[in-house]
Amino acid sequence: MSRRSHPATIFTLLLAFIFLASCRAVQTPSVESTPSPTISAPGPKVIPFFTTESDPNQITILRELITEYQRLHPDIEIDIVLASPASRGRRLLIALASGADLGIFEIEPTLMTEWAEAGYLLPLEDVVDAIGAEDYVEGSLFESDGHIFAVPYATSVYSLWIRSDLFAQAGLSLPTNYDEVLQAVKTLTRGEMYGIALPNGQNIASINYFSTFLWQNGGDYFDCRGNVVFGEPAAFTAVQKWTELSQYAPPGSTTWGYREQIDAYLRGRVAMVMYAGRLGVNIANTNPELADKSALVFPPWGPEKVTLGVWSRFAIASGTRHQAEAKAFLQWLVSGDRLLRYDMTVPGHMIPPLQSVQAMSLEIESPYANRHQVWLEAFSRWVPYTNHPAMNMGSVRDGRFVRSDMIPPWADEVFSTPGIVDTMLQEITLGSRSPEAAWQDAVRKMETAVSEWKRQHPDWQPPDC
Amino acid sequence: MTVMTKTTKTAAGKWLRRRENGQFEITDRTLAVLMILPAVILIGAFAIYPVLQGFAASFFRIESATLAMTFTGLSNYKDLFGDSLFWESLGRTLVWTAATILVQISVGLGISLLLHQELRGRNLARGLVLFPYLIPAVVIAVTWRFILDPTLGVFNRTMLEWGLIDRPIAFLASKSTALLFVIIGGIWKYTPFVVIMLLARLQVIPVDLEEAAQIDGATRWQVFRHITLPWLMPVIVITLLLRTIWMFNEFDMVYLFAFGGPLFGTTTLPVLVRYLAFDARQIGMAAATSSVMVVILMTMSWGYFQFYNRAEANLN
Repeated sequence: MSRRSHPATIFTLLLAFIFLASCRAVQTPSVESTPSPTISAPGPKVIPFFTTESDPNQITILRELITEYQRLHPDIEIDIVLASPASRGRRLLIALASGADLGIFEIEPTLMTEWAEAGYLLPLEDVVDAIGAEDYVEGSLFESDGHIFAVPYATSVYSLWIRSDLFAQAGLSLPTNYDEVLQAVKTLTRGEMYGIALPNGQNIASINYFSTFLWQNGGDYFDCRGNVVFGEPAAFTAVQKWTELSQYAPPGSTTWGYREQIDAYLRGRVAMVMYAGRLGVNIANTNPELADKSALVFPPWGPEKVTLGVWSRFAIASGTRHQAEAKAFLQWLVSGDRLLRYDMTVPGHMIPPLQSVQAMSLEIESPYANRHQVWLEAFSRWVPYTNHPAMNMGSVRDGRFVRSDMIPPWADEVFSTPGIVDTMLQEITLGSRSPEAAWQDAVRKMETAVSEWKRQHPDWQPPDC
Repeated sequence: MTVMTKTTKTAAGKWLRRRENGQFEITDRTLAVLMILPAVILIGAFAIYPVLQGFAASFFRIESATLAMTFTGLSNYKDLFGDSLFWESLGRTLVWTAATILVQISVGLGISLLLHQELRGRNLARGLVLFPYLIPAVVIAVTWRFILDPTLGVFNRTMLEWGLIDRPIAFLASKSTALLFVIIGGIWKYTPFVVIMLLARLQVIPVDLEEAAQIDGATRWQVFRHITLPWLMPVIVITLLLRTIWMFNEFDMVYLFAFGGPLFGTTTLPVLVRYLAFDARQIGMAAATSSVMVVILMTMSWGYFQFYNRAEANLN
C-alpha cells in the first residue's frame, strides 16, 4: 500500500465504523433503552412529574401540594415537567425514544393501548384499591388485559357556551335542537359578529368537536368490533350539519384550533362556542362582564344526548427509577383533599373522578363557585354523557349512545393530526372538495388505515360486545 | 548554538521516530493526524454519524409508540416517491427557495448598492437594514400572523377601510395565498444577509478601476456591468449557495407562519419531515425524506461550486 493511500484508508475505516455504529444503534430495540429500576444513589429520590395542566393557578397549587408531600417525605423530590396539551403525545414519544425517565405522566389517549401492551406502563391496581375502586366514576379507569394502567384525576365535559344577551336581543331562545342553532347562527351573523366558532384546522379540536356531531346524529367511526362504520349515512348527516354551521364561523376559522375559537368568544366576536369549563374561568378572569351574558347548554347537534369528554389520567412509566415512591406520591395526590384542591384550580373544567370528591367540589365555597354554581352543576350532571373518539370505540350502536370503554387500538393511526377527519373538514370548509367527496375519501382512508393496522397485528381479535 | 538531534526510523516508522539519545518523538505525519483528529471526531459525531444513522433509519419501518424496527429495504423510498404529498412538498420547497432567493439577491443587490453611496444617514440606514435579520423567526411569524389576522389584523383593516376588499380575507388560511405570504416573510427576514455580504464586497472593489473606466467614458451601467458585477459575482455565488442551503432547509419561518397548512399548502420538505416523524409518526419515511434532501442539496452545492470556480476564473 502506498504512503498516499493511508489517510484515505483511515478515513474510509472511520466512515465504515461510524456506519456500523449507526446501524447497530438503529437496530437496537429501544425497549432495552428504557431505564430499569436501579438502586438509587444517596440523595433525594427524584420523581419526574409530566403535566400539561399549566395554568398559573394549577401550577401554584401543584407546587403547594408537592411542598406538603416533600415535607412529609424529605427523601422525595418531585420534578415538574411542563408541556402543552397539543405537544403531549410528541413529547412523550421523544422522551421514550431518548430513554428519559418519564416518571409520573399524563398519558396521551391515543398512545394508551400500545404503551400498555408494550409494557411501558406500570400496573396501578394497588393504587386504585388503596384509594377505593368503588369510588371511581364508571368508565374513568383505564384497564387493559385485566390491569389498570392509568389513574384519572379529572374529566372535562364539552358544552355549548352561548351569548345569552345576543340571543335575547334577537328574540331567540336558547337552542335546544339543531334547527334552532342554525336559525340562531343565521340571525346573529352580522357585520363583525359571527354565529359560531367552529375550528376547522388540521388539529385535534376539529376532530373532537366534529365527533360530537357524528355521535349525536347516530353515527360513529367504528363499531364495537372494530369495523369502520364512518361510511354510514348518519356520518354524512353530521358532515352536512358541520359544513352548514361552518359558513357562519369567522374568516380564518379554517385553520383554527381550541385557542383561536376561545379567543373569538372572549373578544366578543362569536355568539356561540363549544368548550369545557375552563372557558368559564377564563371569562371570569379576563372579561368578567361577559360572564353575565353567557349561558351554557348541552350541545344540540342531533337527537342523541352525547358530548365530548376527556378523562385526564396519570400513568407511571414501568422503567421509572423509583416505582414505589412514584406510586405512593400518585396515590396521595389523586385522592381526598389533595385531589379536590387540584381539581378546583379550574372549577368546572376538572371534574373529579371520585364520587366522594365530586360531591365535595359542588359544596366548596369560592367566589367563582358561588356565582356560577349552575355551570358547575351542569358540567357534573353531564359527565355520564361523555365520549371520546380515541377512548371509546363503538359507543353509538343503532343510533343510540351506550358508552363503550373499548379503545380503538389504531387510534394513533386514525386520530393523529393532521389526519383523516380534520383534513376532511378543512377540505370541505376551504371549498377544495365537496362534502360528499371529502367524506367518501375520509371513509376510504380510514378503512385503509384500519385494515393496514390489522394486517400488521394479525393476532388482534375483535372484542366481544 | 543549536544542537541538531539526529533521528532514526523505527519499526513504527511513519508515526514515531527515535532520536539519537534513544527517546522517541512523533513524526510530522502523526502530528498532523493528531491535529486533525478532534475535528474529525466532532464532525463524525455531530455531522456524519447523524446523517448516516438517518440514512440507515430510512430502510426501516419504526413503530412510533414502541420504536420497534423492521427492515423494509427500499420500501420507504418507494412509498415516498409514490406519494403526491412528497412531490407537492418538493415543488413548494423549490418555489419557496427560488422565489425567496431571487428576490433576496435582487433587492439585496439594490440596497447594498444604495448603501454603498455617500448618503446622509448611511450608517443609520445600514444598521436599520439589519433589523429583520436580528429578530427571531418566531417573533416575525407571530407578528406577521397578527398583521394578517382577518378579524384583528391591521392589513385587513386597512384594505377594508380603503375599500379594496368588502370582507376580511384569511390570507394564511387560504391555500392560494398562504405560501405567498410565507415567501414575503422569508424575503423580509433574510434580505439583510445578502446586503451585508454584498456591501462588504463592494467596499473592497478597487476605486481606481471604476475611475479609470469613467475617464475612458464608460457609463454608470457599463461600470456596473463590466467592473462591479464581475467583482461581486464570486460573493453572489457564495451567497446564493449559502442561502439556497439555508432556505431549502428552512423550517422555523415556514412552519411558524402557517404550520404547514392549510391542507399542506405551506408544507415544504423540512416541514414534511417534521410531519412524517411527529404527526404521521412514520419515522422511516421521515428519514428517507431527509436523505433525499441531502442528495438534492449536495447536487445543488456541486453545481454552485462549478459556477463559483468559473466566476473566480473570469475575475482573474
